[in-house]
Amino acid sequence: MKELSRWRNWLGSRRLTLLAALVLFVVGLLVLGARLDDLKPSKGGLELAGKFLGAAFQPALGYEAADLPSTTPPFWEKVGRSLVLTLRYAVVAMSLALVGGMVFGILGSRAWWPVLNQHSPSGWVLLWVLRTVRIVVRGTATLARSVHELLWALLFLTAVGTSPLAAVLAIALPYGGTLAKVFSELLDEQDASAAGVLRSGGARSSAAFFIGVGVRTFPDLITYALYRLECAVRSSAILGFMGIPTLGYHIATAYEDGHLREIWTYLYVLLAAVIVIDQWGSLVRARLSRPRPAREAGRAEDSVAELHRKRPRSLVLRASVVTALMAVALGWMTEKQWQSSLPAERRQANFERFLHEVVPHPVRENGNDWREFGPWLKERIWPRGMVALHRTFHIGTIAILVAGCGALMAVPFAARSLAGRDALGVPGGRERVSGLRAGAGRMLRVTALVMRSIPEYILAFLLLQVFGPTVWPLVLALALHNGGILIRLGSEVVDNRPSRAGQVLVAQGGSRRSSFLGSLLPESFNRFLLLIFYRWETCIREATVLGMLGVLSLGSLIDEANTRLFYDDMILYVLMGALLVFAGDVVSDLLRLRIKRGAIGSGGRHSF
Amino acid sequence: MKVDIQLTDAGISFGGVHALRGVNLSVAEGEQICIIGPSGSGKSTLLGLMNGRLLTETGSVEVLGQDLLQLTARQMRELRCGLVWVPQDLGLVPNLRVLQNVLCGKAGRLGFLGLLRSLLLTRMSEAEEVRSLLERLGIPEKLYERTDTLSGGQQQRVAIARALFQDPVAILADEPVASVDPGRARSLLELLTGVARDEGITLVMSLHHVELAREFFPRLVGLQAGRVVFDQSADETTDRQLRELYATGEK
Amino acid sequence: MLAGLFAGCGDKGKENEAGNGEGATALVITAIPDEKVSDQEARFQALITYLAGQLGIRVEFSISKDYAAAVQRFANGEVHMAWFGGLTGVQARDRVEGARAIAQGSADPQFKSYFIANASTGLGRGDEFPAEAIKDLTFTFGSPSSTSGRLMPEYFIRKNTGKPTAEFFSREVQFQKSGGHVATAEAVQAGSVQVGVLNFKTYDSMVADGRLDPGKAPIIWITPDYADYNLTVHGDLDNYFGDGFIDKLQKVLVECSDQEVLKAFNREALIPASNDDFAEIEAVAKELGLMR
Repeated sequence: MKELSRWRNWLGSRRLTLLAALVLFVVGLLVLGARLDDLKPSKGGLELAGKFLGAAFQPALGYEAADLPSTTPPFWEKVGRSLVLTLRYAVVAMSLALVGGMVFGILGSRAWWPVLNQHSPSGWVLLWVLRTVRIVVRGTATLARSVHELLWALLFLTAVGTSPLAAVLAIALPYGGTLAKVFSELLDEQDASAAGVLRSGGARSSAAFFIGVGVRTFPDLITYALYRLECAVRSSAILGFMGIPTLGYHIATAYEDGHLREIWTYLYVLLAAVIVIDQWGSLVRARLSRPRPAREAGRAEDSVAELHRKRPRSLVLRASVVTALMAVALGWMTEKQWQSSLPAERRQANFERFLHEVVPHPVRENGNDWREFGPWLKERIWPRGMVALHRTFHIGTIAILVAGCGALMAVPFAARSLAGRDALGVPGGRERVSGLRAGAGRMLRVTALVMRSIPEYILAFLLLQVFGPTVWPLVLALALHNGGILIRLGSEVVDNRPSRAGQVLVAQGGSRRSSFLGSLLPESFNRFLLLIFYRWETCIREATVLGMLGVLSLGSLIDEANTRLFYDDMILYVLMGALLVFAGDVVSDLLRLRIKRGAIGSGGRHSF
Repeated sequence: MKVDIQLTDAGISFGGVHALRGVNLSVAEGEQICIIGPSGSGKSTLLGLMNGRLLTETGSVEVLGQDLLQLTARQMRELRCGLVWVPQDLGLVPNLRVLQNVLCGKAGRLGFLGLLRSLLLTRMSEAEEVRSLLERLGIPEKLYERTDTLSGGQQQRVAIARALFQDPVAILADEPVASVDPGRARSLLELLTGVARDEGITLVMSLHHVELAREFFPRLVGLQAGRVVFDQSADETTDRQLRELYATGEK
Repeated sequence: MLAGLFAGCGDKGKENEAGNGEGATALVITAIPDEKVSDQEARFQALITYLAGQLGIRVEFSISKDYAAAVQRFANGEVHMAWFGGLTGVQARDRVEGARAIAQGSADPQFKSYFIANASTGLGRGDEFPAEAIKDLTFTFGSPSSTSGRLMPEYFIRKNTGKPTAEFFSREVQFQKSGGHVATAEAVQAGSVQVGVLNFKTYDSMVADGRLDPGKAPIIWITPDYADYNLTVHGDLDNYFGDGFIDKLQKVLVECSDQEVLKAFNREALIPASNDDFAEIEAVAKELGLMR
């Protein structure tokens, strides 16, 4: 009996988590068939990698090709146009996603519900109607989000044809779903005491909700939306691999032609755009949460007009609002033609034909005999579909485990409060090589910044050329990108929670690593876990499309079905991927809830 | 004298445990009473019964002459326009300006669009009114500051300003000075009780600090384990009674 | 609901539509990207000018990013005419009722694929399919929908070894997702893959241009002949461009002898074609499960 309880104690939930992670890692390696051979780049691949990295320092400033037709536009015009198109689609898509996200976010939350009398029949009915609405809205949002934007684009382009509207909707749908889900969570988790006070003062529920909860949640909403805008730019860029002329398209074409330096030009441009938006988002967030004092403080004897004049205003925030509105307006108005150039009847006919072809083949052939559905489904799911699903899951899982480990090792060096001579503010004495720590920290942060700014799809595409067509380039691409994200988020967790215990450890001569492992990590373990869980499902979502680059997984099955024009198969595999992500989402939510409930001192809302 | 709040044999339980039982309490118009008792004795619950946030399971609760159990939602809202509730954490919106938080006091009277208009396109008259309120509370220069940049004590005054802006009949305050040092607590209570007296607003407050309660309130109601143990003037309350009240809990 | 969103909302931009019944203004052409995409637009310039001059209408070229996109855009009506491979042509004509193959290269009815290998494998050309020699090497097809780079090689491998390609090779089989036959040739020459199969015309022209060294990537087997490549058009073009348009178009293409124009197809001349010419391709595709 004592033995058992000793085991139970040892297997505390933290150790359990680590154990589970280890098991998943090993299983994943087995399933994906890890061979040391696979990690060796081929001869051609090494050469390519060398040339490619070399080209990084000499990005093309003009066309690399020699003989070009006279109608070719100047190089920078081509780059500029592509950048503008990428940005335009991202901005327009986000404007749609924001509106949709706010509406559905409210519908999907509990915070706006009026106080209901459960005992009265009408109250009871209303309660259940509201509950149903909430579940349906959340489910739809999660489903929209479970399909990757590349897959939405594939579906739209196939069903209706090429058009800017298709590109924009492909981004707007999943992003709207994510925004709705995050918004509704933020609203639900918001401190409702202000709303309670308003309601107790006689305000209607709608007013109490809007002012008491909505306004309070607004800064987090905006911060998250700006983060999503940055992601949208990346998504817009990789739509280029679907033939839409955004930055990704030119990167793919440049690769095909062997113009490696041109690839870097496009990459740098993309990175610049992404980093600018990221910094802007950080700036806005800082202003929203820590407002600067006004230049001139109001005095007691000032009149209202005087005080109004002296009131604290943020130039950054005002300029941001104006810029954002202008960008959205420009984005919408400068598109010459949103719909494809086909006439309406043609588009309708195309769409209907697509719908017809989505019905499984044997069902269709036998006059809509749905009894054929079962065998058709079974044939596709077993074994090919399940193998692909299984592989996709493990690609995403191993990637996030690697990324998590890497980030945990890097954060002690990368976090601002730990890098530099004085860790956590405790004076550290003279360094042998001054500035080495700070420099190393900075380099780590820059590397993390670059890694998370390059879209995973592009990283995977390039790595595949170097290492050959196995899963490991995909895993590596996912791990690098997400590692960058986790390093940044982890550093923020550390920076924002000045740890007394950590300081004590350092003051008593502990190293940064020991202070991190000994105090910061345990204290913030739950927050780190939350971050890792959040990225886990995103990794799996990415893994479903990375396979389209040619490695056996759901993505490759989707691509294969598309190539053969077997749209019923294609939709089936897309749905399988969506269900996988959906399940991951549900599990992640449950785990996060458990962590939050059981967490001590890990307070504060997550704003991801 | 008109009775503002009348509880008759009120009681409520949560999860099978009686939070309040057999409470008879009568608060007259303009009266100031303080509810004291150890943690968990039901102070917050009692305040909750008074403005309908919680509904009594036994007996009745009448506020301003209306039985809370009989009211429709609309009537309840109208009734609540005359009541203010100030929770322990003040319930302010941190990212609004002080002016806007105070303006929210009229949320009940204005309706949704009216409130929006008031917050976004504040009229000069409204701003003047708020300013003079803040002046009375000693922080007029903070009119346009963001509420979360104010200190704790200043935020409490904002909450009081909002309460007063509502022009209520009664204020229900739940431990408004709990997280404040005694010196500041004293000045705040002085302010609040003074203003309430001047305006003739009924004041029902729960306090943990017994000395302050005795100092500022003419009438004390002692709660213990959900029952009213005594209901008498502060002068009559002996130290012994207070000791016994807090015997089962910490002071 | 989505149909309404797409089809119904706003009919802006009715001008410049291909085939809106009011007399379309441009004939839109595309081609499968069987070599590099970026060259295509330049290569097709002369053809466009020629056709515009001969037919008296506007002609445009539109790039398709891969084989499937070319077929889909043809099926959607975004392009009127396309230079397809054998398989893609069959797919396209299957989806669009009335679509016709009207022309092909003069030597295309006797098309072949070359199996090539990197010189390091030490293999040379043989008459027999070198099953034993290559089954443990790394292998790549061309594009997944390529007739000469995928369909027919798969067919011949099955015929000669009794197994599907994926089972025959012990290592995982690759595809060239972009760059088509040129990418296959370059991959084999560089050694990143040991054996590949591609379009014989691409190989020959790359050797002629000096882009490929036959010493580094020799041919190890040549497949039997089959029909490949065609120009396919929508059957209803007469409605938009006038009666007899398709016949005129065919005549103009077949009679062309300007090498600049024919550079688009990398052919010396074009001859008439018909849908039946590709019946074998269709049969093979269905047999291999690439078509239904």
